[in-house]
Amino acid sequence: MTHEDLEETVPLYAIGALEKIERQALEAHLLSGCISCRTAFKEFQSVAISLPFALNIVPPPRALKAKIMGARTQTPSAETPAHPSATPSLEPGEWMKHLFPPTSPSTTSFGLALGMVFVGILVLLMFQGWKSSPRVTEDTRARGELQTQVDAANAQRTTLQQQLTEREESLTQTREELQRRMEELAELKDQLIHREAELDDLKAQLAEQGGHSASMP
Amino acid sequence: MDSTLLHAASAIDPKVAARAGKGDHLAFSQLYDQSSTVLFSLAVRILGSREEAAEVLQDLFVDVWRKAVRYDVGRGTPIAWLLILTRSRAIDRLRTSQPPVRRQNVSTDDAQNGTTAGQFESPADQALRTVISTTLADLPQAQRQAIELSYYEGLSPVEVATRLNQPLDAVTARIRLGMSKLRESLHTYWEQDKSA
Repeated sequence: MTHEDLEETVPLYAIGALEKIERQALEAHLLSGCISCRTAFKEFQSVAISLPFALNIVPPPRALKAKIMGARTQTPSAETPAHPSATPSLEPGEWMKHLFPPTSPSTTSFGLALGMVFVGILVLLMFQGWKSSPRVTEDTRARGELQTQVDAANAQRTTLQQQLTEREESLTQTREELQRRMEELAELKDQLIHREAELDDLKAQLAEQGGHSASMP
Repeated sequence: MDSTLLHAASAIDPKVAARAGKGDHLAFSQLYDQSSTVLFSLAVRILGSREEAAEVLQDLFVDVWRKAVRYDVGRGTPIAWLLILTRSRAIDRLRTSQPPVRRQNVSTDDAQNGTTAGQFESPADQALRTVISTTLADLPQAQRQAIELSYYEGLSPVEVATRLNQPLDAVTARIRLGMSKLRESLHTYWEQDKSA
């Protein structure tokens, strides 16, 4: 197709009236960087977007906004039976929870483990201190050792705290990544729904054409 | 912001659309208030049913809130994004409805009479409405009909030609001509709008 041929299809493309083959050809042409066709497309798209402003104005029911506001907080699983087609099998399921466990229990259990390690060290230090208490002559040396051990325990605690911070940062990044992936998934899902609709159209058209050709003598 | 644009569907702030998808209740509410009338009118025009139109809008806005659909500035204005989604979903629903709704001779806009019912609250939307309605009313009926069947029923030119019992070339030429006339009128409107 020549540039002129493609340019003529722009208005039809803007109102969604182009067949798939022509649409793909024009999309490739637009992606190739043709400035005049891109400009024309933007303007024709603005025309298409303006069309509904000429319609009879039908205000939505007053209760609709409240209904939407309420529906936002409902869990998607509760709506699944009512709209089976809106939640196809691409929806992430329970298995996701195994890959990305909830934040609070994970953080709590790690903090608990850290606390237990710290308490254990303290008990050990107290036990050693109690063992060495009768020998007064060794007190100074023992105190020095204890001080060393306390320092070591403090260093260990600092290291563990750093690890905890790193884990939390990692968890935050993982959560953000999950969020991004979920959004990408949602987009893909939307595209899939549209492609399926297009496929259905094409099938219907093929069926119709088949029917016409079959009925011709 | 210019007071005439404050509640205009045609002038929704892209930041409002972006914030609405990030859990901002106020932005979400504002997005609904500014866009719902034109979106609902479009869905009713396509589906011919207020109940179904309400379901389309509900699903759409809930998806916006749950980030199932995201606004991207690169894809155009917020109202363009919402209108494209509404049209696409309403047409999908129309095609899957059993039996499919057919309204060959039904047109909910009164462009052929040069009048359109109701007024938008926002002066900016009303100005756009006046321009597009007037131009549509001035188009030959065959051009207007071909555009409406394509846009509101999602018919391909072949389907429009079959529906109207006209040659395919004539249908594509009419859509092109009609769209070009609308583009010219809007050009003038955009220029005036810019200078204002």
